[in-house]
Amino acid sequence: MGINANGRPATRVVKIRVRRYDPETGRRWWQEYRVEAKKGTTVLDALLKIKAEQDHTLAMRYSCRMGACGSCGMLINKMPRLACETQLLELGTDTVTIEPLPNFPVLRDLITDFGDFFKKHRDIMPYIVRESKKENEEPYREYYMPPDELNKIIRYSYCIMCGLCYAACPVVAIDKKFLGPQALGQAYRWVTDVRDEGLRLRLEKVDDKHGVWRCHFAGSCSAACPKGVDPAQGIQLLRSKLVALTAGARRDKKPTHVATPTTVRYVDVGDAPKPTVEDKSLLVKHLEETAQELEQDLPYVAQALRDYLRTITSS
Amino acid sequence: MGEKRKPRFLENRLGIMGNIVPWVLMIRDNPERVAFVLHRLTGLLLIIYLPVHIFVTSMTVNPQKWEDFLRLEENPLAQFFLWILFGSIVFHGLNGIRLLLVEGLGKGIGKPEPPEPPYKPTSLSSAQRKWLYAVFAIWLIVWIVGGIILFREFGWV
Amino acid sequence: MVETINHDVVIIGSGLAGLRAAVEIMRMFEEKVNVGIISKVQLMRSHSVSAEGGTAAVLYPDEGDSIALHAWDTVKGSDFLADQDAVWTLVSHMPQEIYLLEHWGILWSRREDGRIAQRYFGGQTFPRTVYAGDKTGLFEMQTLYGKLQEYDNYERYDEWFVTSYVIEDGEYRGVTAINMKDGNLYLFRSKAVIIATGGGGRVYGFSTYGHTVTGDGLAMAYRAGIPLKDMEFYQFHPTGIIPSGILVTEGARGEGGILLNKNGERFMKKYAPTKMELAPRDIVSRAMFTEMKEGRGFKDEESGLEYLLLDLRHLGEEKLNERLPLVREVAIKFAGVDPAEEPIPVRPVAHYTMGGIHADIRGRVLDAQGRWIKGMWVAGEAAAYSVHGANRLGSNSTAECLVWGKITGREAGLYALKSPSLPPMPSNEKVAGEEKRLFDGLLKRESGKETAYQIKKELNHVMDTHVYVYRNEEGLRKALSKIRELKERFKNVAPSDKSRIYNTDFITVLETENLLDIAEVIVVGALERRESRGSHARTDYPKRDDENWLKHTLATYSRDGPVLSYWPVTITTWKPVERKY
Repeated sequence: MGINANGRPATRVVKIRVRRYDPETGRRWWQEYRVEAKKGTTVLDALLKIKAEQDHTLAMRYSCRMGACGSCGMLINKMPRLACETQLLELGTDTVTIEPLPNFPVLRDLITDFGDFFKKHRDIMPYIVRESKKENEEPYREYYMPPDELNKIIRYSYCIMCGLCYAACPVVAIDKKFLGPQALGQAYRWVTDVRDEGLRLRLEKVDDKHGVWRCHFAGSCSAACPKGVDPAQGIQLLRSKLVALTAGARRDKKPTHVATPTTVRYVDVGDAPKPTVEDKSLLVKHLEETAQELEQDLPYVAQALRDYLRTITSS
Repeated sequence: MGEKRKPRFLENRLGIMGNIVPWVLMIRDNPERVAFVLHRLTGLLLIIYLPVHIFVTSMTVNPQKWEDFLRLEENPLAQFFLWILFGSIVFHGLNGIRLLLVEGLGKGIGKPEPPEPPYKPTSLSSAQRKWLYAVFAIWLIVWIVGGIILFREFGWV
Repeated sequence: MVETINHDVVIIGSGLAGLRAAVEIMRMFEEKVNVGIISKVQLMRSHSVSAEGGTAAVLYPDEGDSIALHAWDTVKGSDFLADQDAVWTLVSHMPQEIYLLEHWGILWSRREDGRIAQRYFGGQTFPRTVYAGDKTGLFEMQTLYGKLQEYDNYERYDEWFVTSYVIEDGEYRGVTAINMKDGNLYLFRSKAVIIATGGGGRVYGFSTYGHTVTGDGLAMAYRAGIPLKDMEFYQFHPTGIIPSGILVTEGARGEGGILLNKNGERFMKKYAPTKMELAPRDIVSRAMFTEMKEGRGFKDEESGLEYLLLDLRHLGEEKLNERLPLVREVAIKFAGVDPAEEPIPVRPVAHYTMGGIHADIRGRVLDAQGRWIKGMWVAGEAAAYSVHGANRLGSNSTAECLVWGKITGREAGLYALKSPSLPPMPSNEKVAGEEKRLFDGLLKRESGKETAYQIKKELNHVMDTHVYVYRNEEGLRKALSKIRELKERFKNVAPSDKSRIYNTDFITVLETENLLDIAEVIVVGALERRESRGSHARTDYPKRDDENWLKHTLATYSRDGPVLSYWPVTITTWKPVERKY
């Protein structure tokens, strides 16, 4: 065991207790491992080391190891966390207990079933709803969205669906049908989006005894969230919106409109170097086909391609 | 050829235990959860007490019965129960006001602005947290002072 | 008998390309074409969520950008190995993808006037990278995943591990996959398949890739006789954080971040005087390696890795939070460094597989003779169309996923619509053979001393040592013999976990097998290519050689290792010239 510059031991042996479950026999037990940890060793690193060197049968989910994919949520020392961004030594205990996320059915060891969770997220319609389907599916420009409108909801888009909030929620623990903090937080994100017109549709889903009214602000979801999403806030704001609407307030937001097409003449041509091949027939053919294909979708691109073709064929 | 097996699973819902037993689940920096649990427990107590209260009030119609009841009330155990009840009413009322502001009107939980790493949830560091500490403080003071006044008759304090 | 599952179209992989293809099929032919999405992870866990910087598209031709300029930048960035028709397809289709995602809900960062903002990326002559802070990949995945929820006519197969493609008579018949939930093998039959399985980044140890990116889709194609194209071209991103290799986006340099060596010099001025830090990734990575080799790097005591510094302090905390929140978060959480106060320790890191499954510009999978394997498409990083050539420009990868997700989705959907029935049932021999190989040959075999984990570790080590940014004959030969030794040793490997449900040990063994195949193809291709082009830098052949090597490498499976053949580069517009930045 080396000593680093600060005079502290550079590595330390940590005891890791894992709550295991074997679905084939139905056996459930605690298993102990010992892992050498140094500064920078995450819980996921430790578990992978155990899996590689001590016990190949340990089952868990992991993928990106940088806190972006949301696979490795588990209960670490009784707190729901992402294993990949929890530093083993910063936990400060000699024994670290690791259990599967609660409120999710356990399939094996640390692997849990996210079926209900994904379904509840699906229920709140996580996409933009516009009255005109055609306008939504055939864009020729973006919708206007000033940065301050964006800033109102961007926090909720940081959600990585790791399920930590759902595991922490005391209401989910007793009400299986409760939509849960993730779905409700996302519902708030979508109804607040200036581009969205699906307020009524979504409110139908959340205005339910298993919906927004079931939350009683224990705040655990926000305290557990690794990405700063703050579902507790979203749910309260969603509810107060519902209260205001019920009390007869008028719609508080006008949906934004599509940005106006550019009217300035295209300066598309001329900047890129002229074609240098002798035989331009392949290029001409390909660009004509592409222009035709995109004519309907996005006229300005077709236009740009044709302009470019004109300059190369005329010279 | 693998024989088909039906996958089994373990329902791992924490249920009521997850709400009240800290060694099942410990969320750090989350006094709101303590308030949540207390609010539920005190609420439960008050709901149970409500029919008793109506029954007791109905006794005032018959003076003899009422006298008997008042004597019963002098029992220290009943007094202790009254004190618990008193605390419950104070907490539930005070925290109820806070929850009305937070849940009904969306006050005290900050604005939804872009988060800054390392992430701190706005709603848990905004005004409602201060209100929560105020609720705890006022509740404890009123409850203890109430207890002193109540139990002085018995010479307990 | 292996149970069969039928769909009109099967999509393998649920990253950006896979989801985009699924959404395209749903929105074009929702009622008529039924889709199965097979993924070895849950949806939304694919490594696409870790894409950071942005997506390139020409949105403001009135402000000086142009489609042709985007095409030129891409071709020049590719060191002229890109197929130029594919490049034109990419740049022309891209703008609409940006608007479509925007209409479905993505939160692109905005300008003050409410329109979409863009920033500089390496090798661009106009700031044309559309971004969402530095969580672009996450936001794009979220949006496509959300959009998919609008439709019903699809089935998701989360955590099903595809083990082989069944191809007979040069036509696609089906795929076999293990359902991790019950551990059994199933046969998927469909009229069309879209492979969207991503790259093979975990052949390297120091890599930006997540643990699950093990090149399964590529290795299975290779074993099924489909050639892999240009696998020796592997992109090394200049800024991977020490010690884990987590990516710091190129956007950090696009926003004004600078690279410093031990003497505090901004060394890029020596290597790319005009573009400086915003030269293409291959050039910056080589510059960094040179600096470190000449003793101007730092050394990390814990991991033994050399590094340089990426300085973002002058951007200020506010800009960091707005434009680069993930970089700040990751640096704080994984390197213990707050970029607002200290420079970040970085070094070049394996980042992107330029090569992939041989395909034409419609995304159709081709064999070594250029014939379409009927019913098969490939999209995203798994494919080589080849739009990136020898070096990909930053923010063209998410663009590629979106464009070819759409194209293949549309093509495969139409094809399924027009085909009256499923292709013939594959011969039982093939499917039963696969089942036997997996369960009797691997799972039930007695496990010996060798473990897949050890082999993977040694493979990573040899790839990091000999097949990294700079390569030479001697190192590559050593690497090849080591890989062949590992392949030999792998024959004694069996999972020690013999259970069926969520047997992740078994999956690791299968993944390791795939990694070994990919690594062999990379090294053989690199050994043969006696020139330096784009990301493939040979110290013994330091010059680009257009005379002999302006061609794609195709590697086809044989029992004794990959057989190489070559494929012409499509040059429709610009002839190769010297590449200067």
